[in-house]
This record gives sequence, structure tokens and C-alpha cells, in this order.
Amino acid sequence: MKAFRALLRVSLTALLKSISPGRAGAALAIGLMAGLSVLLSLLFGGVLVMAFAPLGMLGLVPGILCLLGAAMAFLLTAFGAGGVLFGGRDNDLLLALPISDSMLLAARLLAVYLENLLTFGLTILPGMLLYCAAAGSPAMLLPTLLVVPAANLIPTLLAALVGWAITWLASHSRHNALLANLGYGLVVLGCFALSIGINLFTRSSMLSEQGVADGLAGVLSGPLWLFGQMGAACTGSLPALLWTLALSVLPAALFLLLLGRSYRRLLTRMGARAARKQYRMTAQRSAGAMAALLRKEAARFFHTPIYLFNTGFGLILLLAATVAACWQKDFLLAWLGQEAGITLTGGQQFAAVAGCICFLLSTVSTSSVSLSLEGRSFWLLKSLPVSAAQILRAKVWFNLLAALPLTGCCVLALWVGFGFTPVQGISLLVCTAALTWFLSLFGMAANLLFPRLDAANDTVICKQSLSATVGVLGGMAVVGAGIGLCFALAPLLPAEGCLLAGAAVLALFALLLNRWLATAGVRRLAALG
Amino acid sequence: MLRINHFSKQYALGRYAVQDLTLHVAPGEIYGFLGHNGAGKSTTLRAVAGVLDFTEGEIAIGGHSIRTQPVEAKRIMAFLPDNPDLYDFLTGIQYLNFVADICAIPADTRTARIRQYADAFALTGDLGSPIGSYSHGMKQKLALVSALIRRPRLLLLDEPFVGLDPSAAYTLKQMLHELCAEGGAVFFSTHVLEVAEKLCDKLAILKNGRLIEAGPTAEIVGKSNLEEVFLQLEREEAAK
Repeated sequence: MKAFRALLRVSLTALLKSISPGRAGAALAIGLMAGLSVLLSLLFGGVLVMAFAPLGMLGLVPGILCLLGAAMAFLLTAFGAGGVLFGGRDNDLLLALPISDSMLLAARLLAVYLENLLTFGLTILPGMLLYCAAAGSPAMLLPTLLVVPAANLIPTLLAALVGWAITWLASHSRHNALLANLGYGLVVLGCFALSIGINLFTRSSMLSEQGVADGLAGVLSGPLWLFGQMGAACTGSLPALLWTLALSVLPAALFLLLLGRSYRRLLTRMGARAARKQYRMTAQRSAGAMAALLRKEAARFFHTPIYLFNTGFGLILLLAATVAACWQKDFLLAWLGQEAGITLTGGQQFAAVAGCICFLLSTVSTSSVSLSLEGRSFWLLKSLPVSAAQILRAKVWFNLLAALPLTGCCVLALWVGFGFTPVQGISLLVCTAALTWFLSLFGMAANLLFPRLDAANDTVICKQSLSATVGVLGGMAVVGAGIGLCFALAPLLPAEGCLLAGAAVLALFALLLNRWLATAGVRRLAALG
Repeated sequence: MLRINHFSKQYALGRYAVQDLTLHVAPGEIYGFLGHNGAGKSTTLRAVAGVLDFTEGEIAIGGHSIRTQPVEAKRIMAFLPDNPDLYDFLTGIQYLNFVADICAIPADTRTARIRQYADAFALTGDLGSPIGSYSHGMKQKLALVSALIRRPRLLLLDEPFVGLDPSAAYTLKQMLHELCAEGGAVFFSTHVLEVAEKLCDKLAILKNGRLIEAGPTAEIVGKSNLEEVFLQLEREEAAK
């Protein structure tokens, strides 16, 4: 047990240190994530309570909250669990210690579990508070406190299984990065398919609020029965609580029992060197220093699934949303008009599209982690004859190159698809370009201020480091503030005017950030290492 | 070629890793840097290479200050740390081309040099594989090839013989001699006193961050051997 506690302490210390070297930084990052979860839970819980209370179907709320919590926890861990469980750089060190393989697996799984618990608990509990207040029975919070730790095992196990399957598949191929990217891409597609499936399941009865409630009740008693049981357990149903405990604890025990036996063999197999192909020397081609740096950044981006999916997820969503919006535009507008009672004018459609694009772009921030990802090979860049300014510029430019061409194509497709005016189209192009420029520089500044060069694996840098959190949440805050200002100014200024004004402001801040990076940023980079 | 004047590196809590080090390496010299674990050898080499920032003293390579003209200084030198962590996501040949691009080595020249050095270290057949699949020794060889294709005037090596097989170690020694014969210089740290005694023209011995002895190898060793001299110097320094 002492060994297990020591292993867990190491995992948790690594987790906290990966967020930020200082306690204040770690507390800030955890606080930001916790705040976001609480806010989402309160907003979502509030909407659900207000919608279902008049229908007398308040009992659906806990189940939906459990589903939301599990989905969020799974999505936040799915790309990282493989790295934590199977991709640790300390595998050799830990496997050489006199501890059982099951204990090592359990300690690592517990670290993933505890990370999930924060998201899962904070997504459910605030919403449940609102539910208890509406139902007039605060005592229901007690069973919820029992359900949360048990139910949290489910997204943890799902994430671990996805991580295991993809790492195993990737380790059996020479093109392991491509396979891993495809695997995680399939997970994303699966999530989309599931949400569309739920949508289709409920759409048949989506003609009224009662229909929506009936549809959701059908989902929770049908395909997602387990979450219905979790919800019922939260409201004090003993059989539902027993089902929840059994269906979450037993699979976890089984997972530990089965995988624990073959964990060492799996790690060895996954770490095995792929068969090397004999290389024949041919004539090489030359390129410029900046092209070399950009190619290196691209190789890093496409070779590391957690990096690609965590910092480029917004682009994948943007592409999917653009295709869906252009393809299903008429249906979406009709659906909004008929079922939500919202009829959008041309200008409002443009504003909505612009808001969505800017929000998705706010999550694209390769530069907020690319410096930390240099890790132990940072000495290489520092010993080569390139200036610190060039290194920073390459990282910023890569963010721009990753985001701008795809964003430009999506804006043009939406311009044509929605029939925007030339002024609207150009203002959207200018604004998204300015936003991407600003966010690329902002991410770089965040990474320079909160670098982590000694993380145990790439997962903790991309998912948990303070710079990653600040890069994404900062971007969201900027876009959120911009959207709020556009709403406030709507009577005075059309959306395209707001976008152009926003672009000017963003460009001004980008210039200031650029200046900071060229002076203080360069000094900070020189001091690193 | 390399001038280190009154260099000091201070870590947190005021502790000095290296204090007031002055040392000059002339063209054509192989300069060995000796000392116990934690003496400050790697710190000095990393500061010379421009990897580590420092505040006291001055370091110049070929007349270029590493602090004020880092790019010019790095153009004429190459550095190899004791544990070369390279880009695991690149293949060996991609990594060599990356270094060659940064150092602006023309296509035909780099092809010839990569062929020459990769063949010498028996690495050519593995250049198409990801660096992540390399053993420690192969990474060491690849890092050496990437340093040598730059034809540096100053080569900085931190424990270069650790992890190399005997054949590669022999090749490396030959290459160091060739580099110096062409007017280059080598400054390297080692724990292997026999290698230092046979290979180096000059030696510097560091103890707790301070230089306790420096000069031509023959003068330092005298009629004894380097191992005895090293231990004697350490004892004398400890007694002070």
C-alpha cells in the first residue's frame, strides 16, 4: 500500500507540476477549468430546470446532467489517457521497480480518474444544486455525492480503452502517427455520430417542449439507459444506485484484473521498435532556415495526435460545421424558425456565422504549447545558429499557416453558401485573419510566460499546462467579449462594421504583442533552458 | 578560437555552479575538461554553446560574443550534450537536413558530407528510420554526424565517448584530430582520464566550480599519470 501511495503521489505531483511549476499558476489553471465547468453546469442545469419544471418532468434533469458530465470528462480525457497509461517516458524506470504491474496500472488509472472527477463532479453538482432547489429536496444532494465517484469510472474506462486501442494499433505500424491520428479522428466522428443519433432519436417528437422532454426520456430509458439509472440514483432510488455501482465498479475491476496481468507485455510491445527499412543515400535538397523550422513544426504537429487534436480541434469542427451549414442551410433555418421560433434576417445570419467561426478559431492555439513541446530537445534550437526571434516567429507562423488557409476556404464557402454581400464576406475574412494573427501571438506569449520543458509526456503539456489553458480560455474570453460588444453596438453598427472595428482592435493588440515578443519575449527565451 | 574570461554561473540561493573561470582554446588544440560529477563542466559547455544564459564574465568564439552575437558565434561551432535528446518525430535524414538547412549548407555539399560521416559511423542504413526508434548510441552517432556536417571551427562535446561502441569511438578520435589539423579546435569534457591523457593537447581541471589546474597535458601529467595527478589535485583542493 505504501508503494501504491508513493506511485500515486508521483503521478499527482507530475500532474500538478505539468500544469505549472508554481503553486499559484497551478491553482489559477485549475480554478479556470473548474470555473468553466461550474458555469456550464449552472447554465445548462438552469435551462433544463426551467424547461422541464412546468412539464412536470424535472426527474429527467439528473440523468441529462450525468450524460453531459460523462461526455465532457470523456472528451477531455480521450486524447490523453493513452499517453498517461501507455506513453510515459518513465516506463523503464517504473517497470524496474519492485512493484506489481497491476499496481502501476492502477496508480496511473487513478491519476486519470482524479482528473476526470474534477470535470465530472463540477459539471454535475452545481446543476444538481439547482435541481434540488427546484424540486424542494436538498437531501437529494447526498445520493449524488455517492453516484459521482462511481459513475466517474465510466468515462475514465472509456478513455482508457480508446487510448489502449489506438496506441496498440499505432504501435503495430511504421506509420504510427498517421494511424493514431486516424484513430482519434474516428473517435471524434463517433462522438459526432452519437450526438446526431440522439438528435435523430428525439427529432421525431421535437414539435413541442413536451415532445423534446419525451424524446429525451426515451433516450435515457433506451440507448443511454445507464445514464437514466445514474439520474435516478441521484434522486435517491436504491435499485438505480445499485445498478450504477455495479455497472461502473465491476468493469473497472475487470479492466484492472485483465489488463494488469498483461500490462508489462503491452508496454513492451508498444515500445517495441518497428522494423527498420534499409536507407539508401540519395541526393538531398536544400531549403531556407525558416522553411526548415516550419517543416519541423509541421512534423511535430502531425506526429503528435494529442497536439493535433487539442490545439487544432477547432479547425476540424470549423470544417465540419461549414460543410453542414452549406449543405443543410435551408433545413437549419427552417428548424430554427419552426421549433425555436427564431427567424434570422440576412444580417443576423451573417452575425451568427461570424460568431461561430470566431468562437471555433479561439480554440486553435498551437503556439501556446509548441515551445513546451520542445522539452528536453530545446538545447538543439538554442545551439543552432538561429536567433531567438526567428524561433518565436516560426512558431507563430506555423499557427497562422495551420489556421488561415482552412479558415479562408471555410469563409469563402459560407460566403457563397449563405449569399453574403461582398462587404460582409471581406469583413469576415479580415476579422478572422486578424483574430488568428492575434491568437497566434497571444498563445506564444502565454507559452513564454508559463513554459513547461520537463513534462513527463506530451499529453500533460497539451491538456493540462497553464499555457494551454490560458491560450484557449484567453482566446475564448476575447471572442466572448467581442461578441458581447457587437450585441451592445448592434443598434448603432451593423455586424460587418463591428467585425472591421474588431479586426482593427485585434491588429493593434497583435502589433503590441509582436513588439513584446521581439523584446521581452526574446529575453525570456534566452533565459530558458 | 574560444576565450572564456571570468565566467561565473550562479544558480538560485546564491550558489555558484562555476566561479570566475578563465580559459582559452587556440586553433588546432584539443582541450580536455576534467572534474568530478557536479564540478560545473556541463554548465560551462552549455553556456559556451549558448544554451544556458549567464550574467558574469564573457565568452567569445572566433571573436564573437556568445551573448551579444549568438548567431555569428553559433555559425562557427557545434555542440553535443552528454545526453542528446533529438527530435524523435523526425527520421535521421530529415533531422540532418533540418540542421543543414538551418546552417545553409548547399545541397550537393550536404549530400557528400552526410554520406561521408554517416558511412564512417555505420549509420547510413538507419537514416530513413524515425529517431524515436534509435538506441542511445545511434542517437549519439546521429548527433555527431549533424555536428560534423557543419564543419565547425570549434567543436564542443560533453562526454562524447559515453555510449559509443569502440569502433565509433576510434572514428571519432580520428575525426577530432582531422578537425584540429585543419585549424579547428575541440573542447570536450570527459571522465575517462586515459582518453584525456592520450587525446588532449591541453587540460583543465575543475573542482566545485573553480579551475584548479590548466595547461599542456605533458606539463600537468609530468612523469606521473593523469589519474594520480587528478586525485592529488582533488586532495590538495579539499585540504584548503
